[in-house]
Amino acid sequence: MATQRRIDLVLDSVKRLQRVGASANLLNLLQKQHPADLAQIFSELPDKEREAAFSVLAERNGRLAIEAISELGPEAGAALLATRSAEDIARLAQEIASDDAAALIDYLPEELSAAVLDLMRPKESGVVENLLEYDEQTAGRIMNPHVFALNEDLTVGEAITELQTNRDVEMVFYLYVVDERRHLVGVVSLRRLLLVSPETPLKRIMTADLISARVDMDQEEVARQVASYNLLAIPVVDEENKLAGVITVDDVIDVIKDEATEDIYRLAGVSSDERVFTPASETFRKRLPALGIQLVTAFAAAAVVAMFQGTIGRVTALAIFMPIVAGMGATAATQTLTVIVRGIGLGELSWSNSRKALLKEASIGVANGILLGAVAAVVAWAAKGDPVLGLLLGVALIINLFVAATAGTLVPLGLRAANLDPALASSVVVTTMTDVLGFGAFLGLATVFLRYLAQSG
Amino acid sequence: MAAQRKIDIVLASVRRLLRVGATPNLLNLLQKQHPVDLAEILGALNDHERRAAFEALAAKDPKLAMKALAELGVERGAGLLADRPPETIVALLQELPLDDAAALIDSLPDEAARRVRELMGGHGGAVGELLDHLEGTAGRIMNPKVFALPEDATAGDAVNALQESGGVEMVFYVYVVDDRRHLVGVVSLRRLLLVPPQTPLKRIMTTDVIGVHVDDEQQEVARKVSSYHLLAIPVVDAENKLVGTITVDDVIDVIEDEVTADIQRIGGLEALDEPYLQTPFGTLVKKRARWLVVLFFGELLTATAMGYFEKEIARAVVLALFVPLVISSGGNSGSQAASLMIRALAVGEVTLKDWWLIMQREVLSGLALGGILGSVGFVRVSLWERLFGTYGPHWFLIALTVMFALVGVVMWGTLAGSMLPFVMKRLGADPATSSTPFVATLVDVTGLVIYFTVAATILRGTLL
Repeated sequence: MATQRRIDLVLDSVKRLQRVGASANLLNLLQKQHPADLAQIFSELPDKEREAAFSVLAERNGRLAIEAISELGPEAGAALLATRSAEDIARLAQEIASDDAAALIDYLPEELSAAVLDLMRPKESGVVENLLEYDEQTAGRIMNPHVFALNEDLTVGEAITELQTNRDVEMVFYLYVVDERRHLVGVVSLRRLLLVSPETPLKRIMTADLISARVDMDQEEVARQVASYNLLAIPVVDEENKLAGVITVDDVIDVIKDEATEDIYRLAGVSSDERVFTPASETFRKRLPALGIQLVTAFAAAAVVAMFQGTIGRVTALAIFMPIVAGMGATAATQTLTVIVRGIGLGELSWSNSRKALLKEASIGVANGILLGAVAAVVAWAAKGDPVLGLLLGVALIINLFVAATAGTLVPLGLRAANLDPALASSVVVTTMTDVLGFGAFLGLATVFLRYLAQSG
Repeated sequence: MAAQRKIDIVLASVRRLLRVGATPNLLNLLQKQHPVDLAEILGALNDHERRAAFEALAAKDPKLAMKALAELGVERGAGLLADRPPETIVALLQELPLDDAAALIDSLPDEAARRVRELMGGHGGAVGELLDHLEGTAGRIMNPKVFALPEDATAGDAVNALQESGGVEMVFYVYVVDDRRHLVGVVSLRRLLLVPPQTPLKRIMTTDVIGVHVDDEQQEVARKVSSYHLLAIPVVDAENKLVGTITVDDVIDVIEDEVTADIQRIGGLEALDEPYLQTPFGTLVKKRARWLVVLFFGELLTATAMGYFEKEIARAVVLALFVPLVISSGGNSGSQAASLMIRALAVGEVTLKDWWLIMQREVLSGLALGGILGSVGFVRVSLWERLFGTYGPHWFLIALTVMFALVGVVMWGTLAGSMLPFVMKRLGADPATSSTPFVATLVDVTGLVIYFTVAATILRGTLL
């Protein structure tokens, strides 16, 4: 990647300039970078250097500094921002779009964020505070409330004049049309404005049938709408259909990435806001709950095994094949969970078409179970010279792969139907079920057919 | 979801109208739908109905029919086109942007694709060029119809040119090229409106253009568009000549496809090419069976590993009780670490050169986590002994065994899980191939060895 190499070069220069204390040259170099590149440079600097570089930039070019911080992501950004005084933060926060400012301020320590809001210009802190009132991960929280809207009675010429006087509204490509009470009534693309004569009324050229999001819509649903209708921005309206803000496609891309990361992490039982460079102590705290819960559920599996301790004592060979039962169940469950959770994430699956998915998964589970069960049976027979043991292992694998498939389908779909994140608890619940039922089936069958098994000792 | 319900209602009507053969009413209904919704409706119909509905719409409103078809995905879209004469296919393809047309032609049966390319002539030349680019590159997904103007044009010229170019879709930027079509600058549509018409483009254009090369990978395109917040990115060839653009909506598709493929690989299956419910049963089995079988043979090694310790198990059956505990703790900690690294490598938070730093961190995390889980395990064994007398006179040694085994297994799981993605990447494979089931199986086998070795050391002379 050429860009990566360029960034590495800049990074080296930054470090060198910091070492020799050449602030003027450093500032010069930093100011030439795109905010996105600066964010990457910041993230690769050691803590002390990062703070120093940010501080140099913040004094001279507050806008660029805060834009870079915002690209770092709210958590890391806020951590860096918190090294400044409240006055400084307030000054910087006013340089970026209110939605970005709100995201950063939300992650500041509580006292500091209160102080910052007090110090900001009342108009802007009001906007930020309003945004913070919407629930996290909803359209209201991520929208930009500075939306460019025009009255339906204006003409195209007047609209262009309006646009020329409002130069600071960012990324305008759709012009939203509202009535006198700010109800959203239509949309006109910037390009369309150029294609008609200036005296045409907006009402005549606007599209009245437009796709919008409610302030309380889940951000994942917003992303899905924007992605599937190929929109560049989606207007956000309140309960009365009044225009409240706009969400642009670049924010949607962030949502898509974040939601994907969240799905992947949750499937593996990692907290959704952990990153590779999260401090070790925090990483530790974030991973512990999932592992702890797994440990408790593993005790449940151990309890099942303990029920059959007598059987194992008489046929030690059973113990040898236990990990196969558990391991195959977990693998098959992970496969099913993955496709189902992703299917839900992409909006392809819901409770209403779950029957088809369930049928499919259950048959795949049984098909794979028969295939692998047969192989396992032969291997166990060959290894231990006991055909009954092989048969029991084969049957246990079929049962366990069937359990993995049905539970792997129903648990995430059920969580979704109950309005919970399908990725959240699925893997813990499902692997516990495969462990418990798999061991139960294997050792239970062995107990029932004990007199047919070759017994040790 | 309101949107979903509305589609269900339309779907029911479409089916009813198809059944009674009320074509005019059907067309009336279909023509009112957004292409995206139409694609979803077509996707939900059975083969027979889908064909009938598409035929009817293609005859009446080919543009809408083709837009819906493009949204349906290339495989099924090409399926709907394939069984008609090449001339008709060509006529229908003309309704689509070149990049979408190229993708569809690519999925047609070979013979049909060849005839269609021949018939498209000059137009086909452009499509053919697109198809000559490797799959997964910028050249393959770009739209070669790009809005570009010479350096000496004025803002007024640009607006006029824009008014005449009805066909170019989604224009947000005007690209500026020199007389040999080298890309020299870019002007946003909005900026055009803010300056007097006689301003030369040269004066208002940004010369520091962020672009991609035709051979760049799609992920690189996606990374640039998303990190620089662009609506479209210009594509240049080896000589820096402007050859196309890629718009942000196509980039979103790239991102979603990449993410889905990643998640599926992490989950231990080969990436599906189509939506889940549309993937045929056989494909679904095949895509999973391969990994499942490979892992199964890996899992069989657990039996081999335990076979070595069969005597120990026979003497101390109690050891078997903790096998599930030990292997699932190792597998889980490995999956956690692997998921983190795979995602971090995918979004570019870490690179190969960070491996040493990460290894140090992960070993420490693994030790700490293993220490906690080990203590819980120790307490659990002691408690049960107190309450139920489960483990007999050697309970303390058993508890110690469980504790040290957990520390070792969790640390080893975390280390293996975090390093495998780096190894894969170093070997030139997709880090996501070190899927969670793969890591879990690896840790199962080695974890058992750790467990029984610890047991043999601690319990020697007592239980063993």
